Amino acid sequence: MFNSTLIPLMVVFPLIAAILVNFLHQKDRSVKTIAIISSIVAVIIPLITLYGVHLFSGHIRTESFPEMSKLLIPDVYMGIVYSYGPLQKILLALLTVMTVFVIFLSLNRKLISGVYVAMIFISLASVSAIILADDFFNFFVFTEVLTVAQAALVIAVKETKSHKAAFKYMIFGTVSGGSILLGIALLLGIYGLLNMTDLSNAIIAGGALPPIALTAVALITVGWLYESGLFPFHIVKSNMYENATPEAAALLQLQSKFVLVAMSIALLRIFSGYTLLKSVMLGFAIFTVVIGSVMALQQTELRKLLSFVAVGQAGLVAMGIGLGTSFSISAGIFHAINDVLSMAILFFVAGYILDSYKTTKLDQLGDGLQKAPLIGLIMFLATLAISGVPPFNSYQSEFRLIQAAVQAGYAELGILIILLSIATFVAIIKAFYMIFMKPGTNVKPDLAIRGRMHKTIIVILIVMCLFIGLFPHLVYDPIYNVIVALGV
Amino acid sequence: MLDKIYEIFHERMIHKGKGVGIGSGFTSEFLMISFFLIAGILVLRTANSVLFALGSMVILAAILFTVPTVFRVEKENTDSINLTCFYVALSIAVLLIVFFSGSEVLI
Repeated sequence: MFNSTLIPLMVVFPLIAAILVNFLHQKDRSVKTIAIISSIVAVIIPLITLYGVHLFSGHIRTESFPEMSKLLIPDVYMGIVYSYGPLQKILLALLTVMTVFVIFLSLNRKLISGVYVAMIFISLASVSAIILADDFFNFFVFTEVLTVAQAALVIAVKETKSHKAAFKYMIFGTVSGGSILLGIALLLGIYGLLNMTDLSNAIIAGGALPPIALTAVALITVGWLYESGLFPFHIVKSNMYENATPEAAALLQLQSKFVLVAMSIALLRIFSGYTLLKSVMLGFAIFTVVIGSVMALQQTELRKLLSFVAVGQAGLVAMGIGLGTSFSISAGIFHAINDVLSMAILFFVAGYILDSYKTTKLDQLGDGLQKAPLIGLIMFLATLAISGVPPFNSYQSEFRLIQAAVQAGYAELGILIILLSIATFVAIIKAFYMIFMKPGTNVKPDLAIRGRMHKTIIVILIVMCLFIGLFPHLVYDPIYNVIVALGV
Repeated sequence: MLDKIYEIFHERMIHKGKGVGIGSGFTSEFLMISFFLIAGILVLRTANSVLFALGSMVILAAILFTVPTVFRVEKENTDSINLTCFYVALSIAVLLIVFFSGSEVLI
């Protein structure tokens, strides 16, 4: 049982759970039971699975077909391949744990139904497949499934602006999906391959990229920008976070950042050695991080503010990846892991505030520290964590990002990262002041809301932030080793 | 000088409340100016072309004459689908130009 044959189960099991809860729509008690059991099983699967490769349909590496691939690489994979290693384990463990938290918090909401939980499971299966897939077409299929599932999670809020946000997300999803698919088709036309490892070998063997391959790079980069929520799609993405329930927003931002990591690694592997791609990634990342932070500072609504912070932090992850050294890419991925934890705490705090005050408009809130001192304390600690203050986790990753920027010869970017950390701190501490320290409030909090589940989960998350901050090597070293081994 | 800047921000941010709102407005303006300066320095230092250097200097000067820039940034980053469509089209064009005009050689 404890072998790599469990690898496809990380995708298949959440899909089975999704089908089950979907059948039980509106039978809330059954949905709750299945959702809780399935989400816990989903956490266990990545932990007991051994590292390895799963070859679907039993296909092994086979001799190349030069008339198809036109390039002389010794052998190719003829089926879909899933790879599972230490990096995938870290990402999937965090993804499944956060999904459990979100399901637990969503169970208390009125909108809980079989379809809603099914969408959470489908999004979990999609992100798992994106992280595991070594096949570009399989990768694309699950990005599309993820887009639909995320839009459905936002539509479930049943407000006009949520519908509008999801509709916009779907419209631009068609642009991005079409771009990725056309890019894949062009690569298939040139090289006759879909497996990422084989494509990478074929491209290296072919030398300079032909114009059609350059078009494919540009088109797939458009898809990368959309899936990651980077400029010019940052507004669409932040709109989604803002209009989802805060718990769903915490999950959406995590999924976007993990897709960003998975897709960046895929692109860097396939087009390894093509330095212009890294420069383009860096350019869009810098733009996103600045605009995200500036827009966050301008907001007067907590969920919108956090949405822009999440987008800006995704830019910071992409900045690390775009710098293109093993050190910077590892630091970028490490920052993605750290940031999703801190952002999740802040979104969960927003969820608690929304439940208690029925609004997240900052000018209407106040006096919070007297009513919810623990939530206030955790929000303050999460603000320190996300701003890169020691001893929290983001300090470790931001410090590495600054070091990587200086080592790569871009000391200016190091300064920019410091300025952005300050801007993030100012933006969130402003919200903290207006919610918890400002005297007087226009709305009366619902004191019946105890939020015991909220409190437990955010305490667990802040302890996780502190633990990673104190022992960063437990997470960072495996990531660095994988990136060095990949040679991207 | 500071009072004058405060007045400008206060006038534009009256609907966002006083004090902290204007403070965060200042911070974002400072961030934008720093970004433009850093981007300018980076281009000047790394671009191996006089034309690039002159272009970045002209753009930098033009931007610094248009401060405060944050309100323009905010205006361009609304939820409007038209604006997003425009920037998506622009980005696709920029990507194609960069990839086609840049080097296609793998190193």
